[in-house]
Amino acid sequence: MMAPAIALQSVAKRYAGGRVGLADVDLEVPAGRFFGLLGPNGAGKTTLVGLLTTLVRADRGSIRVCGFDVATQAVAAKACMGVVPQEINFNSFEPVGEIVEAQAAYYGLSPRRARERTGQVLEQVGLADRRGQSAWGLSGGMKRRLMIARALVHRPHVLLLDEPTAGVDLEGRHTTWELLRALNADGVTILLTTHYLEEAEALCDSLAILDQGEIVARGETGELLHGLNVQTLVLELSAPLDACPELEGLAIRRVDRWTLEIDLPQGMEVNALFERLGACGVQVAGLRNKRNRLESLFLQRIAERASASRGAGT
Amino acid sequence: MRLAAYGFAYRGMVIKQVRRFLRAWVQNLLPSVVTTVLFLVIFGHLVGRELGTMRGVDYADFILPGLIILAVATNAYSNVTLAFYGARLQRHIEELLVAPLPAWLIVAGFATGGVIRGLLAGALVALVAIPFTNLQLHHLAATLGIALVSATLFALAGLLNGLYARSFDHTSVVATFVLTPLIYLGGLFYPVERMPEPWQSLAALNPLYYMVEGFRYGLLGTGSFAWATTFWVLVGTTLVVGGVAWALVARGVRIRS
Repeated sequence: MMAPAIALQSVAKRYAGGRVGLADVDLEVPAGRFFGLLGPNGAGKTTLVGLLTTLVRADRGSIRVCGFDVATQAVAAKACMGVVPQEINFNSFEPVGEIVEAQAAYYGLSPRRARERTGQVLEQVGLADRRGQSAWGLSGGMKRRLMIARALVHRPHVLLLDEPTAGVDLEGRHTTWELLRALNADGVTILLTTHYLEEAEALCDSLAILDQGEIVARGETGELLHGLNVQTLVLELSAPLDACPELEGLAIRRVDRWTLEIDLPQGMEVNALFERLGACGVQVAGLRNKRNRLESLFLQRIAERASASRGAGT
Repeated sequence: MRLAAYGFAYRGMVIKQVRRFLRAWVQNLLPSVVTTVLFLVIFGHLVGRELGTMRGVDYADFILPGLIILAVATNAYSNVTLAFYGARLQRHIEELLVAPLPAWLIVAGFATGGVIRGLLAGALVALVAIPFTNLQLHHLAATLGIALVSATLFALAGLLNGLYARSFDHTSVVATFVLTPLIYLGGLFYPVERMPEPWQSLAALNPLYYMVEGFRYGLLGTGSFAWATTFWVLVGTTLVVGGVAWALVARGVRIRS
């Protein structure tokens, strides 16, 4: 059986001052997956990426990447990883090409191969024409793309991306998405942390939600979304409505004369809803989710955890 | 295979370090040259004429070995201190830490950058001294050996400084308040045997005194003790400092959370 690309067992990290980074986390990412790691600020996402890359040392537990233990086989584990950190971490005074070429050398590529790969990855991220330019002059989005190019230069099997599209404009974000999809289709396992929940929903086939250093939800993206208790739909009406219709078992709010909000419970199909509305004379012209579905799931799980914590405290 | 990969990585690190100090060569290499010219003009010629000879050579010739080794040591030290501290501050040290590089290779990459700058600065100082002195080369192996091992020792010491520095102030404190005074008091401007007690005995405790005397022997053929003793003491000290630097980087002190 193929070893998982990433495997954490009972991994814990507590920082100086007592802040919990991770609390006994178990996590397995099979090879070839596009895995999303979500969570509020300070949830432990960056700590987890830091532990995988050895920038953060675990207090206990076992961490393996591509089957190699990062504590005892660090060189082999790191050789199969590419890392895109959250913060810009290259020397801005250096030219773009030199930054990528140097990283290629650190991964053991010969000078000729390093030059070739640098050209290829800069082309891939749309920075080929900036190769000789100082990184100082790049826009924020370009700097992020440069970090992606740097992480790809040695053809990693596992790519760790810590909020790679933070501050990137819409077009740049979609270009990055396409690039990541293509890499994943080529067999690269991707672990992505992001604050953009629509990004996770669009890209990730499985995900975990972290909160206060613990995983509060995990699974295939589709399954997790299917498990939503309720989703709020916004209906645009064909004709104005003076009063809010009342339907048994449904919470309906009238936003204005042309718009209704309805909480659709798990198990109820949209067609059934339309039929019941139609029976009351309400015709629907358009429909959308009020929130991104993953956002609903995220908020639901964080709220459940907060409620459980309060219950345990009383 | 792994050895070849390490070779490419080492090459990459050294090129990066050399490009770093050459990008600002006026700031990094010229100060030593200007200071040396001033020392040779003012002390070597204007004041030195009054002083006559020291150990049988002109005063300018006598102080030149100390000035060269001062340039070698301070340039090697400050290069690695600033490079390593800068890499920590801007976080591009992470480029190395996430790569499959053992700690000893990271130490070697930074130290080599410092050694190259130190030797380059020393060579430039020797070059500009030619019009002002009778530059000699009495013992090639002693001269090159002591220059190389001194540069390595100070480069590694600079890495320790860069590792522990918490601000830019900390990167210059040791060089300004410890190294430079020790070199000046280590017989750079005068033969230690002419000093009164207790200064003469205190100088014997100053490790940089041996470095200056050993290098002076290499150039002038005059020194207080066998150059080989100086050389092996420096080699031993370099191995100890290098071992400490390796252990600290391997443990991730100040560079990993």
